[in-house]
Amino acid sequence: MDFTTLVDTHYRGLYQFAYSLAHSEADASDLTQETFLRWAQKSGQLRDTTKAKSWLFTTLYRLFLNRRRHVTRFPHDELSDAETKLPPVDSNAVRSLEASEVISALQEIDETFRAPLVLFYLEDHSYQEIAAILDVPEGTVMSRLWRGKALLRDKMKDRSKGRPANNIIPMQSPKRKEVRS
Amino acid sequence: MNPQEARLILQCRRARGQDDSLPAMAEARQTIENLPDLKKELEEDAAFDALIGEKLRSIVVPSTLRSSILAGARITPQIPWWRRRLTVFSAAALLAVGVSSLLVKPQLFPSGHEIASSQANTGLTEFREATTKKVNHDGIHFSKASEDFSELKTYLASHSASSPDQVSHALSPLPTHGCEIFQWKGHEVTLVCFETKDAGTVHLFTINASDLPADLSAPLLASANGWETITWKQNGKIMQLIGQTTPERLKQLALPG
Repeated sequence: MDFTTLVDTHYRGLYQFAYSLAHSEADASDLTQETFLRWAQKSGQLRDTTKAKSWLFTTLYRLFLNRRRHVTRFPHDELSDAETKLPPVDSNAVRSLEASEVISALQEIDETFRAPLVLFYLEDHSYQEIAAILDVPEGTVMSRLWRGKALLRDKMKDRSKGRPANNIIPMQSPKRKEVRS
Repeated sequence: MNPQEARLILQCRRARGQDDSLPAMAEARQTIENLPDLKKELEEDAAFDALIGEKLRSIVVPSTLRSSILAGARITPQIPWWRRRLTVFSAAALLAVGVSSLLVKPQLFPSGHEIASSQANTGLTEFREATTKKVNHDGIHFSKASEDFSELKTYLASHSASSPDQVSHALSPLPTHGCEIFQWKGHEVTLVCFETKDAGTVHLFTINASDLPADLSAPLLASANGWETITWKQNGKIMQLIGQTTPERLKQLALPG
């Protein structure tokens, strides 16, 4: 795959990922350009172009973290955190929201949950690929997706009701749904 | 697989079914097949996910981003290995000469004029190191991408105090890739990248002369980090053109006449 084809295939997805993380057009453009620049500089070392997509997203995420000087290490979450039903949300109300409101709701969520969530919603990657990009176990991605979704629903609910979002992170749903097998 | 595990896996299923062929996903779907409540709950979740995904994928990508990326890649220099090695050897040789001259003539001290000149040129050397390293390693991030120099000139004039007011007749008609405004030691520097037919991409850096004290009574030619450079003073600004070509060609491109 030549460079132009590679750019054409991935720059939109990378930009949307970057924008969802950084919430700034300038930063997102910069991160996307920097990612491709790194590819151009190292393309001789990366002959397996089938891994290009994963490499590009991983690099962009690392560049974002480096810029944020994000040094906190988050523990890998246990699967048992995600055994309850997600908080309900009114789909019609969400449908009426602008993309910018979804982005700003995402900004209120810690980037530990935001990164897998955005990769999931952009639909370019399976949860297994997201695990490889973020360098965490698959179970951690599942758990973070669940908790990220719970947080996002909470923020969306606040927005659709027209009141400011709170910063409380719901770790567990108040009502646990009983499921019989 | 129990229903809780199935729920956890199925909430990772992308809304348009891209993951349906994964064995874990198939097993999870089979697990909830006879659990209508859970099935309904997951369908509702998937509908919400589809909505959010749709919103995120509607983020508009800046129209100039693609051209900026491609332009940025074109100007990424590929320094041949022998040239990199030569740079290392040159640095080692210079260091050896410096050390031996100190040992041989320890009694000699520079005059006041030489100290001032040396300090001024230290700044210039640092600037040259910074500009060439930027192109080699740090990368160029265009503030504006355009093939028209006059367009970039107008942009820089309205965004920076260190824009290049005037360039040579050899340089001004050349197509450009874009321009960048960046900081060097707290001072603003502008960069414009020109494409030549015979010398590849050349980069013009401009900084206010007051921000870079330099002894520049005549244009100064020097090599650094695999690049030939020419630096000169013009209308209260210091300009530096760098390229991977001969010093003579660089001089022709840089200077009027």
